[in-house]
Amino acid sequence: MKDRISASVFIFLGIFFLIGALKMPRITEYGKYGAPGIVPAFFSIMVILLCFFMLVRKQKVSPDISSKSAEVKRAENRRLLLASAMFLAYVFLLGKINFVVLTSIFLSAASMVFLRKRFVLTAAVSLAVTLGIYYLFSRVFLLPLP
Amino acid sequence: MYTTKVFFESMISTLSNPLLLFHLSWSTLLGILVGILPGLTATLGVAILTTLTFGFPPEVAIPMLLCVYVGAIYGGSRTAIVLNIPGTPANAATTVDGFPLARSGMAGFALNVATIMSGIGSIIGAIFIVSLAPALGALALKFGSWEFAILAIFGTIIAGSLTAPKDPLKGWIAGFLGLMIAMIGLDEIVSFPRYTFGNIQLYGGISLLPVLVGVYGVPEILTSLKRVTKAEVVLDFSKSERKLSYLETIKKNALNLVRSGIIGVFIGVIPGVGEDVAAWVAYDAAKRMSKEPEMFGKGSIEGLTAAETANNACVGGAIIPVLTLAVPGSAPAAVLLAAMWIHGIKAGPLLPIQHPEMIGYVAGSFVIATILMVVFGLLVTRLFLKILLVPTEILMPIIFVLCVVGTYVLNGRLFDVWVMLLFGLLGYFMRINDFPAAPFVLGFILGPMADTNIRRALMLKNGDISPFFTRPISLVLIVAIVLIVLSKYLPKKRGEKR
Repeated sequence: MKDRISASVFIFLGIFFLIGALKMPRITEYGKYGAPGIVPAFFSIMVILLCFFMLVRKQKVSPDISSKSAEVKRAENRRLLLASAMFLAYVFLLGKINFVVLTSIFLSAASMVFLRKRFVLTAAVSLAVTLGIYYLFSRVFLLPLP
Repeated sequence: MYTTKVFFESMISTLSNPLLLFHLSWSTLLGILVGILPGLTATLGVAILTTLTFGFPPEVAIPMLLCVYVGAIYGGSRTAIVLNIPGTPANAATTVDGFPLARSGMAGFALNVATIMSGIGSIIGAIFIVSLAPALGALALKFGSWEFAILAIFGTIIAGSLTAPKDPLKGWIAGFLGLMIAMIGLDEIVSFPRYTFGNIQLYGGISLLPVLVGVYGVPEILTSLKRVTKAEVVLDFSKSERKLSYLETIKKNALNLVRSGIIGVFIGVIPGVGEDVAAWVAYDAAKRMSKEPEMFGKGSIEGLTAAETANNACVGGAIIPVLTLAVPGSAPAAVLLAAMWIHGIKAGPLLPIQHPEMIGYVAGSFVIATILMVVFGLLVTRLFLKILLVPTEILMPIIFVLCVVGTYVLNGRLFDVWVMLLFGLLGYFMRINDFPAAPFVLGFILGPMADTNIRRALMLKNGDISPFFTRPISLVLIVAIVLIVLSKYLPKKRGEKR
């Protein structure tokens, strides 16, 4: 089932790229063999074909030998969603809020949400790490920060 | 001859330059630290340092990146031995015998043996850079568009086969996905904007570094953070250890060392395969040749030697095609290739002509990196292991911030950060569905090479594809592709079915 879902997703992506390739100009100043769509079309057809094989092949269904209980799996999914949401929020707010402030808050929040202990220590570590990163990139290596 | 001369000159000049030695020292320590931390790969280490070395001249930046690369591959052995968790994928084979050795009270001995064998492996790699790279460079000059086009597809397919041995189809899909996504941006022949949808940011294509950091870093961070059960960290070296001579161990394993080193180098040369495969293949070969195969998995020094020698020798092997063909042998080598471009060094067949000193210089820097790795390995890594006491929940968000900042400083645009995040989610999706990341990344790197050369080959002969099959090197590569594919899907003999 897992394979079928991934094969379907990638077939969709392949078709998307193939349509894009077919819409590209067929003739260029270098003739028809210089057309920009030739190679993308070839690669997308290969993706579609290989995914099609994966979709139709008969794969032995191996029993789920994962020792994780449903409760652990639920907890892991919850943590995964939380982490993804926090990462997205952090990247979304980059450039809108001062880097030091945003990063300190992000690191403290992440540590508190996932570790759930030693709040004062994690907040202090977060601030120190943020200042360290800021100093290293912007002062030592003279690189721009968001 | 010239390469050997530069090789020794570069070592002497590095050793006599205190500032350079200082930069190389902290880079090596950083590499070891990256290797020690489970979840951080050598690829990520080299990528993060690439962003920090923008302001450095190439003769400083490239050796620094080599130090991180060598240090990280070695550093992963520390946690593999002490915790049974490979610090990087390259050290997975090390856990098999390293951890049983540590459990039997020989942690210190196992750590030091791994250090020494890694050092010897790296030296074997350096010898091959000096001897093999100029020859491969000369061969690469005979490559035309046909050979480069087939080489790109060959590299992707072989990387797919070797990184997904149980299901190579997924490896090949990952590779062709990488090739396909590399088509985004202005094409190199007629400058037509492909898949840009009018977005000016996409005209230049997608940068390699955000893709690499995304595909390798983000899934690792997410996987570490979601894990509810954590490995227990026990750093106890107080148990009495059997006194064994290191020299005796080297002597007993001399053949194993040379064999594993050569395996490591040659697997390194194969595009996109990398150190993890090298370690497993060498481990398997050592077990087959051993007089005590029953000891493998129970704390065999031979097994530990094979794995650690091969993965470090592989680093040298992976650098050879970077220098001569601009085709990376492994994922960290891919970042190294990108870093060389950033610093104005165009690796590839013309490198031995345009920068004849580069091969010897890289090999010399590689040896210096190895020396530093062994010195720090023997002196301070036990201290470094203390970092494992820092909870993952604190460490991983910091690593995420470093990924974000490292990606941003590349071009100073938030667009790259979003690209990194998008490819991170794609990488995570691929990981949970057992698609390997290495062929995807290799395909992404080789995509432009394949595109330009396929079309150029067609234009040169007005659409005639016969040169692909009549030119010797191209034909050999095509036959190799067919054999690889057939070997995976031909029906097996009756005896092998079980």
